[in-house]
Amino acid sequence: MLRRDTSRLTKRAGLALGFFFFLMVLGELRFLTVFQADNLSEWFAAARGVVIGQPHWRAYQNRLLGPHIIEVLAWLSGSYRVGFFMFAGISLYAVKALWCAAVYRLTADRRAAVYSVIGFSALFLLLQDRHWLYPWDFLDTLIFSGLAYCMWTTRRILPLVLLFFAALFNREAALFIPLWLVLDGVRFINKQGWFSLEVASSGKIAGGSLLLVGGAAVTKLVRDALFVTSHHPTTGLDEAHALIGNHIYFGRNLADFFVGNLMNLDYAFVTALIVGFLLLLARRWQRTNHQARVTVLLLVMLMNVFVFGLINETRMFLMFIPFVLLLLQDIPPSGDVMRDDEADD
Amino acid sequence: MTKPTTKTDYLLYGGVFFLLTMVELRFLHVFLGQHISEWIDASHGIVIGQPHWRAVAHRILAPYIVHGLSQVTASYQAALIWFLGTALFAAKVLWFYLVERLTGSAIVALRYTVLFSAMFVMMQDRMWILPWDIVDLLVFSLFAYGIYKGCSIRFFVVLFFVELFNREAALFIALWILLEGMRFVDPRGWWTLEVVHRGRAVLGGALMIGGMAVTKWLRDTLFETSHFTWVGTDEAHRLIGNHIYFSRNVGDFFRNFASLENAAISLGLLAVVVLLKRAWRKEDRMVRLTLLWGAMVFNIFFFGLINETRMWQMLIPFVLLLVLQGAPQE
Repeated sequence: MLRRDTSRLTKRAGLALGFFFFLMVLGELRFLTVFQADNLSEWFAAARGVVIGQPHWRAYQNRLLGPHIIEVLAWLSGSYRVGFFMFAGISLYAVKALWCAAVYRLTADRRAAVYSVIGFSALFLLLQDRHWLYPWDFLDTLIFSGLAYCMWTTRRILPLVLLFFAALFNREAALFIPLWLVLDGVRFINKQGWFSLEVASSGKIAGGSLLLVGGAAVTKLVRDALFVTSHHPTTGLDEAHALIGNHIYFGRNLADFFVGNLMNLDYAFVTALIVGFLLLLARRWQRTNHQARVTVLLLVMLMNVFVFGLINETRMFLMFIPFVLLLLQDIPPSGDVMRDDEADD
Repeated sequence: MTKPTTKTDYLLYGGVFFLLTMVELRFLHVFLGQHISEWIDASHGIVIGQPHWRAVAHRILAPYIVHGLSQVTASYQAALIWFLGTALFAAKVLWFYLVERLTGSAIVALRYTVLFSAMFVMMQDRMWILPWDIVDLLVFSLFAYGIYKGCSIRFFVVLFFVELFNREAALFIALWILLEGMRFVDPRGWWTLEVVHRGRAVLGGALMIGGMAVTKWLRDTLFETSHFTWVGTDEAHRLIGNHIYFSRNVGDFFRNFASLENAAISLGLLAVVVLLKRAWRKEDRMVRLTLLWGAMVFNIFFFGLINETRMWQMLIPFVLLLVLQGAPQE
């Protein structure tokens, strides 16, 4: 059995670790440039489209952060391709450094932190979609790593609010952050196997709800204000999605999950992956408030992919990576999260 | 105190390996699937005496297994997919079992099996994956385990004969047996060799020479003509069979630093050298392992293409054990 490595990071070890992460990023970038070479021009068009008001769909128009950072990097480097891969490289490196620091702070075990980063990279590669990877997907891994870390370490509101405002301009998935605030304001009481809810902090519930409604409104406002026309001439003004912007694929996803995927070598693993994820949630289940909140949030996130996403577009599961790693490594919550963690039987 | 591993845990691990295999197959199908007819030509060509090159004519083990399977599946493509899936799953189960035996920990074994899978995916070539590459994963897992566990010479001899019909990389196993018969003495900082076990040294040497002879004989006997009409009877490689790419590879090694696609290959190689240096101890088995590593890397530089990343996959078990255990025990 490997021992816990609780030693402090020396300068030399830090440099070695930094180099190792750099090597992993280069490996990931090789993967993207070699195996997605045929799709790169479409990735660039999708990102540029958001900046000039001509994204693929109305639903993408509010995803401003990544495309605008790339725009600046492209301007600095003089090439959109270079700008895009600088952005990809920096965000892939940043997520490794951030995740390593986060897991180290949670476990005080250097080895566990490095393993977790390797696991992150492995899942990032294994979940690559056959066609698409957008700038907001890269930032999602950073944002949801931050959210997972906050969920496991703190019950303070400010870090989550700051994260929410950054995430809001990346993707509407930012709304999961205020949802966590709402869940954090609720206590789950276990009554003979059934849970009932009790208000633990009305401030958090009110604040979270306000951010949820406000976030949804800002998303809608930004979409309507900035969307000129679709990049695809056949989509035009995307009137079919003028109301909420997002597409609804629930029926198609259910059919894929239960029927289509099971007869297809390419996608059978998606169904298996989702079943595996649900089994992991069940296996890690403990009757604590923290666990109940985490489970509810992750199930809502999964449901969101089923309703608004495409389950076979595997990039949509990238945001789950940090949570899955914390659950797989069985890392318990720490700090003030623990104090509210007793079973309420 | 860690919990003992239960039957349910092992079942769960089996599920994880199955899932990983499915993900790998999906990866191969989605990102490399457009080349599958070329893989089939390369593999089936060996069975009918028309491989791509003379150098691969003796790699009969995997192509004949796939050929045997195709009698059941009625299509060579289906048989190849079955073979890839089964062998990839077997590679995971085997690696898990070996690491668990080495470390006594199922969790460590599970982690290293996931890592194995991730490295396998990350090191995929842009075009080629051939059946003998997957058998290599199995054989080299056992080879690396044998070195770290200190297995008997009989173990390596059996492994040698299996690998001989898969790929000429079997000669590395013979080289290890030869090295096991040597001791390295360091009088005043200079290394000299001393035969400490004549039987092993002679056996290793004999297997190397015999292995080369069998390889050459099989190539000359089984090779009729190349699958490529422009290669014909591959006269350019009649003497030793293999291609020699040393200068091209040395050039690529340095050129790679200026390429986003290939920088990871050269840097990865440097990282392995650093790992070896960190594990270095002036002990016989570590010296032998370093020489073996040197021979394997030099072999790829000489006869392979360093940027055809599948060639590095046989080193995955060695890299993982170097990270996990450092130097092998004396």
